[in-house]
Amino acid sequence: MTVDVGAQLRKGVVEYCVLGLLEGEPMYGWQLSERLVQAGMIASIGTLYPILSRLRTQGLATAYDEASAAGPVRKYYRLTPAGTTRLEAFRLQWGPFTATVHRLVGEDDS
Amino acid sequence: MTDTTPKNVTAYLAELENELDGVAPEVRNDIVAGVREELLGLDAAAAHARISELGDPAFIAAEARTEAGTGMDEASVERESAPGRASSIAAVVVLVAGSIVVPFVGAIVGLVWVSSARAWTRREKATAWFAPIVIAVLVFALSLLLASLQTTGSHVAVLVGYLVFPIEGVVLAVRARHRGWRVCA
Repeated sequence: MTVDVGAQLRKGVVEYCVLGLLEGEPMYGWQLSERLVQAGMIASIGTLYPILSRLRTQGLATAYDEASAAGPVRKYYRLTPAGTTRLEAFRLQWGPFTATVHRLVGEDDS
Repeated sequence: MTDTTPKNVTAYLAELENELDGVAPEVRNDIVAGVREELLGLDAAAAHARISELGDPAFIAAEARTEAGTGMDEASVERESAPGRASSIAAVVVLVAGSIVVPFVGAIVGLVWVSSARAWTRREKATAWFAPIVIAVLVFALSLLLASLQTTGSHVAVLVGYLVFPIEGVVLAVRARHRGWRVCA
């Protein structure tokens, strides 16, 4: 049986990637989806919306409608203060975590 | 008013809604609304290109089902990420309260407990032990200096020593709380 290690890793961090993107600026669904698909973090927009729903339920992100000059009214998502705190907590953990894994796993010598 | 929405957009949205049957209503509505706002206003050719990027509605629905089933609620995140949380909180309470109620002995008990707790890094634990020693030396030196200058206040300097442990406990609690009392050691 082949284990998709990448998929398991992505599942653990994709929510924080969304928080990271939203920290930069409020974004609408397609914008987020494009960035995450290009980065290989999600397979489709179908993965994104359950994540956004969870982030909103947890109070880490919020949504609002905004009309664009040329296009339709879009639902934008932005980070809440709780989301910012969660992202900062993740950043504190991420460096030491990856360093530890790197120490344990080591480098490929082949 | 005539509906100018290209047929391929109407058909795609209908198929997407159909495929999303069984997905949580809120998620389903968000997906359909998000895709609709992306497709509305495009002509048939542009919509065709965007639909190709979006992919098969059945695949989107399958991804949504998978993702919706894998999310952890807030409570379970907290439960799984903070083992020993109660013990860590108790450790700082003992450090703060113990050092006030039973000076020195209470602080030592608190520090030992903090050292065995999992909410702090090795460096934080080492600092918790060494900081009071460094401050004690400085306070002692200050006391000698004030005494040699025959200035009142040497007793106040000693009192400062008693505040070190409660302050240390508060700092440790704030740091651990900032990380959600997650395991660091």
